[in-house]
Formats: sequence, structure tokens, C-alpha cells
Amino acid sequence: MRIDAVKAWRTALVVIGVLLLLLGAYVLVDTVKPIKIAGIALWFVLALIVHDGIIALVTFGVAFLLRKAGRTVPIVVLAIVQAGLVVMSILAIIVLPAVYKKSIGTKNPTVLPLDYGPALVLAWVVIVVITALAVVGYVALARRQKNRPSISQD
Amino acid sequence: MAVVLGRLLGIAFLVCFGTGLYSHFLQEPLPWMVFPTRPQTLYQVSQGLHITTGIVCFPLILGKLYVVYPGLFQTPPIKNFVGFLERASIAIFVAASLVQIVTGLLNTYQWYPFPFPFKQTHWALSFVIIGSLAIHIAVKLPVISRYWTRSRSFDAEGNLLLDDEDLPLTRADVAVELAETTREPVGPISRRVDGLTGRLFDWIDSARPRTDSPKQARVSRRGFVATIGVSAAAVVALTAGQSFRVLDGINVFGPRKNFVGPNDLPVNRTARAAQVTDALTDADWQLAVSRGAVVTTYSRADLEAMTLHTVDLPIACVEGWSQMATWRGVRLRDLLDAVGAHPDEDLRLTSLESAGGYRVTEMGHEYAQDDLTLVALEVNGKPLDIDHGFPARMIAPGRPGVLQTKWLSKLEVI
Repeated sequence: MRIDAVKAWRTALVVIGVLLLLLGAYVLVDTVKPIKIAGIALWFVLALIVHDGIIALVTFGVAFLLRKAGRTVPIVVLAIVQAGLVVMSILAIIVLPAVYKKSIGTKNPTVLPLDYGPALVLAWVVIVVITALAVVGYVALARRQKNRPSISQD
Repeated sequence: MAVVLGRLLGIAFLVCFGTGLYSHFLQEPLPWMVFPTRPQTLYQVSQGLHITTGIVCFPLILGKLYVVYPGLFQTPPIKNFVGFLERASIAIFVAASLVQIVTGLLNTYQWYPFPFPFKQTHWALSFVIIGSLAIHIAVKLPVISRYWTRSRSFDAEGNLLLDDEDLPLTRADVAVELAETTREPVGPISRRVDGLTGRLFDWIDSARPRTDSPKQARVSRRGFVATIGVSAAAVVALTAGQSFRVLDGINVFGPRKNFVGPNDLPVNRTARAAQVTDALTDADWQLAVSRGAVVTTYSRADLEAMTLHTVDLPIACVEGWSQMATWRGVRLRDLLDAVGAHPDEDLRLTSLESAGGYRVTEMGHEYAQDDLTLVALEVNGKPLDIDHGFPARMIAPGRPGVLQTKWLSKLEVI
């Protein structure tokens, strides 16, 4: 992209962005009471603390430990194990609030009608099995390729 | 990688914004607005897309934030005033996005444990988020335009082309650095690693040198993107059955399940919650249809004696769930013709419910005159359950569930 084209796009995007931010702020002040806006601000801070302070730190810590523990493990195996853990965690983030809300009661029986807790456990088991199979499959494949005379490999 | 995920997340945000605007204006139209009534599944699809895309944002935003997480610990934390503004805008962008998707998810099962009103906040934050997104794209435009297409960031053999600072030191670099110092290096020469995460990983790797070959780097990069892709596919597959019938069989995590509820349909607001009692809906119930001074009233028996029509229309909730159902009732246009309504006149609907934001609503003439719009008396072959609006409810194509007024009491041509 040419320099002046980049500059034009940037200017346009900043103008649109600032206008939308002002609109958002106006709608907020216009429709939400000040004390409730303070509630939103509080949740903003909580969101940053929960994400940056807890979720990201735990994720980073686990990645760190896996990398340290997995020095001798092939990187593909590490990647598969990490993938399994991430998918399990993301399902938990989506489903655990529903499990809790169902336990404290919903507005009517057709809201959250399913058995979310057992289904989550089952999903986790399925992911663990798939991850294990993927690791075993990869290791077997890698071993076979290693033992084979390397004609086709570069 | 940040560009790859950022691009998907940006598209997801825009889909949510677009479908959100459509849903908002359906409920609070500007005076000149007229909406399409076909396809009948329009709102079912647009709102199903809104909620499903919102759920997909969870893996996308977490992946994107993980990739840029080291940036949080940049040293020094704030370089200058522009740097401060950039970091502050990122903080607002991230916080608003997280609050938006979390409260949005909780809203799908009608849970409001937060100290602010959902609807107004969701609406206002959508502008804050899209505005911050535009500014963020403006700031990052040089990086984005470089990595946008494969050909720019990869060479002909598919190797990643890196920034200058990512490349290994050349002899010339070393010569320049050595010329500026008076001391002789004692160990191997390497590039300085800045930032907390860089130092940490460097420390782990320094015990026994582990250099990621291009192949290994490619594995971890592709593995990460694939992981986010699998997570996104999993959350969609296991929840979107609440909006899209094809996935109903594997809907194990959706807040609603098709066919669960009275008349085989989920319920959003029960008669009890709306304070609609049996006494209000007994044999004395009447529906009043009026245009100016002309008023006609109908008992349920009167309506049952009219020409009844059967239509298949989805009930599609703002909270994302939807289900196709077979409705039977009087065509609304027949009732309006009886009081001499013009085809371009709108309608005001009043429900028996005693309170609530949707007790009195308006319906544009495009819906009021539509062949498929019914004052429904039956659903799925049985009389309406009281939780589905007995004695009579409105059902029109392409409208949000909250506007498909239950427990009708008055229809006024305006």
C-alpha cells in the first residue's frame, strides 16, 4: 500500500472511530444513570483484572511449564497437548456459568433445560481421548518415518 | 499471527454490530423505516448469527489477547503521550469487548448479576467497541497491510519473512556494535531480548540451547491457529442448535433446546411473570380492533368461526434461540379490513400483561398487511398454551419474538 493511501485510510479510520466513541458515550450518558455507569466502569476494571491478571497469567504459566517440562518432547506433541487443554478451557468458560445459573434457578424451566455439568465432563473426556490418540498417532507416524530410508525426504 | 486472528475477530465484531443494529431498529424503528418481510426466516438467521458469532468471539478474543499478551509488559510501560493514549484506548477496547461478550452470553440465559442495565449498555458499548476497533486498525495499519496477504509475509517457498529485528545478527551488525564499544565480548554474541516474556523464555532456553528451527516455529504457529479454529468450531457446533435446526442433534450446551416447553416450544416470558392470570383469559376475554371511532370486538369463539389459515413461521428470540412452528389463526389483514384500515396504516398492539417494556408495541404496515401475519389461536396442532399467549397472539414473518405480542387485548390502527 502506498504511503499516502495508508495515511488517508488512517485519517478516515480515526475520524470514524472517534465519532463512534462519542456516539457510544452519548448513548451511555443519555440512557444509563450515572451510578449504573460507575457499575460499567467497575466491570471494565474487573474484566481487565480477571483476564490479564488471572486467565492470561494461568495460560502463560501452563505454557511456560509445558515448554520447560517438554524440552525433550517433540514440538508437535507439545502443540497437540496444548491444543487439547485450550479447547477444554474454552468449553469450560462458556459452559460453567450455565451450570452455576441452572443450580441457582432460572426464570422458567425452558431456560437452561439441559444437563450442562455432565455434558461438560463428557466433552472433556472426549477431548482427552482425542488428544491422546493424536499424540499416539503422531509418535507412531514419526517413528515409522524415521525408520524408513529417507528417499523422499529433504 | 496477531493479524490473522485480529482479522477474524474484526469480521466477527462487524457481523455482531450489523445484526445488532438490525435487531435494534426492528424494535425501535426510526419513523421512515420499512423492513423486508421475506424471507420469513430473516430475523431467525440474523439474530442466530448475532448470538453464534458472539459465542465464537470467546475463543477468538482469548487467542488474540494471548498472542499480544507480552505487549502488556513492554518496558518502559509508557513511552510518551501518544503511547499513553494508545495503551488507554487498548484498555478500553479490551475491557469493553470482554464485558460485551460476557454479559451477552449471560443474557442468553436471562441472568443479570451485573450492576447496570443490559439492553442500554449492550447498545452503547457496541459503538464504543466498533469505534475503538477503527482506531486500533488505524494505529496498526502499517503492520496489518504488510501481513494481510500471504505473498507479502511469505516468500515463494512459504517461509515467513520477518522484521529486521527478528533476523539473526549479521557480521556487519556485529561490526557496527563492536565499533561503538571499547570492551571485548567474552561469550557468544546474540541479540538483546526485551520484555518479561522474552527474558523468561530466553532463560528456559538458555539452560540447554534450544533453537526453534523454521519447521518448529511453523508447527507452533499453525498449531495455535488450528487450536483456536477447533475451539471456535466446538463452541459453535455444541451451542448453535438453539438457533439452527441442523445442529439441534448436537446441541448439548445451548441455553435453549428445540421442542422443550409447552406446545413443544421454549418460552421466554411466562404468563405468571407477565401477571396474566386465568381470570383475564377466560370466556369473557375479548379482542378489540379499532380504527378511530370504529371498534369491532371478537371473542375467541368469534375468531375461531372466521376463515382460519395455517402458516409455518419461526419464533425467533432476541436472545438467539429460535424454532419453526406451525401456527393456525385469523389473518390479521382480514381483521383490519373489517374496520376499513388502509394498506399504509400502521398498527398499535396492546397485551393483557400488566407491565413490561413490550406491553404496548407498534407494527409497521408491511407486516400488518402481510399474508402470513396471523392472530394465532393454535400452535403445533393444539390451542395456544397460556405461556404462549392464549387466548390469541400475534405471529408475523421476520420479527423478533418480543414483538410477537402474546395475550392480545387491543389492536389499534394508527
